Amino acid sequence: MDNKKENINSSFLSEAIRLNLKLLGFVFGSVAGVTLFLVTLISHYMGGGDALHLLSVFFVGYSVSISGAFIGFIWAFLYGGLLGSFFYHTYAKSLGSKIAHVINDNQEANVFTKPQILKLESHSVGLAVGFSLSLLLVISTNILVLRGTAEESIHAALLSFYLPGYSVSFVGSIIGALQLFVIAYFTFRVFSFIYNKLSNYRNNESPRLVYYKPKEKELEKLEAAEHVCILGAGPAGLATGHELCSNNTQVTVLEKNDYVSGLCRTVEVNGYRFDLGGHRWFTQNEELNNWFRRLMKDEIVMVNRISRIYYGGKYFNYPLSIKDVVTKAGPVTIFLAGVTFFKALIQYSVFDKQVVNMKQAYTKQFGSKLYEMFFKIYTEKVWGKPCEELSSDWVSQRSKGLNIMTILREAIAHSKNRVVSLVDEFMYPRLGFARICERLAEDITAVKGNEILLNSTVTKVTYHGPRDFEVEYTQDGETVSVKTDSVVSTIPLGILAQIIVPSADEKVLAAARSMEFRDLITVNVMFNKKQVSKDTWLYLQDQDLIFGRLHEPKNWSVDMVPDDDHTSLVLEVFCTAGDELWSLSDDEVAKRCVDDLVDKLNFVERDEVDGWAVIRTRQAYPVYDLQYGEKTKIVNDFVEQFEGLHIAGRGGSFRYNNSDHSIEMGLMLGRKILGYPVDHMAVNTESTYHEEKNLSGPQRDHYKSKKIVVD
Amino acid sequence: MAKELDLNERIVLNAIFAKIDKTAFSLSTGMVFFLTMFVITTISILKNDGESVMVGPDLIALAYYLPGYNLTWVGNFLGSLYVGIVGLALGWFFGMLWNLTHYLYLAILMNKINLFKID
Repeated sequence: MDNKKENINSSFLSEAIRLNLKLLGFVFGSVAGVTLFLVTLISHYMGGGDALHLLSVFFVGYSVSISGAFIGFIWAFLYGGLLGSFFYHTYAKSLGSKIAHVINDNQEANVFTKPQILKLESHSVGLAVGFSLSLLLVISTNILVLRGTAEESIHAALLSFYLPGYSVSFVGSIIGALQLFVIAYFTFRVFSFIYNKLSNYRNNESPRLVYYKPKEKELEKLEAAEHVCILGAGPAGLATGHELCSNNTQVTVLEKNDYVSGLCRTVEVNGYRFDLGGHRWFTQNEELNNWFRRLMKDEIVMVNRISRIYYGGKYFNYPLSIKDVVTKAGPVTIFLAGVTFFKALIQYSVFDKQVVNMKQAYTKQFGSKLYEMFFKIYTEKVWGKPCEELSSDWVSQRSKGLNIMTILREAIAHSKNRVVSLVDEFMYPRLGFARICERLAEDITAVKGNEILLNSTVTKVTYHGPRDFEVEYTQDGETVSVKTDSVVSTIPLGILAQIIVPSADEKVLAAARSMEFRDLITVNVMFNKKQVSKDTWLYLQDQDLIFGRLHEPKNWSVDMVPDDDHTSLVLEVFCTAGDELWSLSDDEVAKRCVDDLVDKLNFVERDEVDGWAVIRTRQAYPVYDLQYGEKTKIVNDFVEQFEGLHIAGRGGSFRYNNSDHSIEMGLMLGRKILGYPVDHMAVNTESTYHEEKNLSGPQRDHYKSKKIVVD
Repeated sequence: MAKELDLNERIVLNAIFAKIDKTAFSLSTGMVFFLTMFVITTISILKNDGESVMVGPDLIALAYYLPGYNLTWVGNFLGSLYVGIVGLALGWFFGMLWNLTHYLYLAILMNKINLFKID
């Protein structure tokens, strides 16, 4: 670890220090300004400002009056800011590469959601304060000397009472400064000692300062399986199968539909291709990107991301840009957004208000006004519940990908490798997202002995003992069973818990039955038109529109439409089976979508519509209600007791995975079953970002599978 | 594609954006203010033998802000207590501003770059 301490990138450190120097200058200036302002006002109203008035020697225009208080504030802010900056500059210089000393990194950290607690390095603090105060004394004394009032400065001269040898002269100021330095140095070493002790005590930490230490976890190492039965041919299941069969493990994949790809399906109707919602390939894991490139080869196209939010009849760029919001939202809205943002900052940052539900999570990050403008309606449409009834975990899971550390590095170091590139462009399979799953399936079935059985609905998973399972499924009305030593389930977790034999107790079954999913109706409206929009996604924050999000597949890949004279829009109608929207017929849903496109959004003319296709998808989104964590734990605990049974994927783990998460999870699970000590459930959780570079052995960034060998 | 952060860059960012423990900072500032005031006044009391008459009046001017403060042992304790409380408030204010400024910087940055994915 000492080597790492020495290797801190000095230019990056300098940039980071420069940022903090500005911030500390602001803080010092504010404290000094406010203090002088208040003291001046008190003196003005209560008297006793004679000594205070002497500050006018240094602060031009200052007096013990109301106007003087404001002038004093400005001067004190400036001087305080300079002093603060000098202080921090000295502190950081002294600290240098020992900067790791100032944090207690035995905690998991996220600078935004869970910052470290600052520790003070007492020697450096002592030096910095000592130098700052001494410099201040030298400068202020010599200002008196230079303006020729040294003899009259009787108040300043009184300092000799405490600093023997001090006088209002150059030499006197040096003597006084040396003494002041010593006093300040020791005083602030004591101060730092007290602060560190108190903060250690309050935060229940060891008083010893330690270097950054990633969380270590003892990982399970399994005995390699010979045959694995995979329930579900979605991205997670197929990725697991791909990894296993790449390493000579036989797999049988059971899929209830007549196609592979699960929620990542691409449908083709009359030459129009469309995904159920439009999935992009995006991951910050470069090894996974490489794996993806190897898999898809020349099928990849790069797509520029242009997303917007429709709100109040206006279109706002997404990601939100301050300039865009300012120019389009109007002054009253901007004012309210600013006020509520600051209110949220104070509530959640200063007073540490707890974040439990989704509304609070959004409000914490954006303030209540921006939350209502840009997130409330869409989020509630997606989930079918008020944000107050949904867990904040969804927001934190979605924002985890922010990787604020990387953003900060970019912002601080002004790197040319702009972070926005991470979101401004993504990879996409030319013929639709399902091609990823189709490619995986092709590789799996290319190996003799492996099977992907479509139209096969799993009805029972019987556990006979450790690594001894029998999976029962129905195919063409017949019940068939397959014996296997390991089972990978990507079917909804709640359903799995209900079909395992020996059966779960009532508590587990009740939890399993209460794990809700949200369903989806996807409407692809086709047009005799070259292009409707430029967006890759358009989020619709409007309660009156039947759909919540739309995208134009042609903007993703020109091969998604029959020819250049045609295009289509994919509209997502979020619903729950049995509710009002789900109960509408396909044509009714499509007609309402067209009505909204024509009459409310004015996107197209009615006679430009070339037709439509409607696809209904069950169990599209796991609902994170406020009890979901508890329910998931109960069911997980039950499932975990069966040695050889594993879960993965969005439905399988009841976790809001993106497609890349599910594939990553599947690949890692494959490695785990092959006997490598990896934790596939670490994907799409906070801790993975701390572990990924530090674990030994094959981990989440190792997907260097052997080439498929075709017999 | 932006480069993944290495361990040391994480260390730097964690350190730069570390949060001040307001309560601990406030208490330690209060204590240091109390002790400083107590030592200064004690020196004044001990040295105020008639020859250093100039010191008393200047220090005593603080009585305008700190009722009951004077160059006696009781006044010393009372004045130090006042100054300690001022230190508590200033320390808390400083810590709050420090945390708020950093949080605000991050929040603005987050909104500006906004990788808050909902797709």
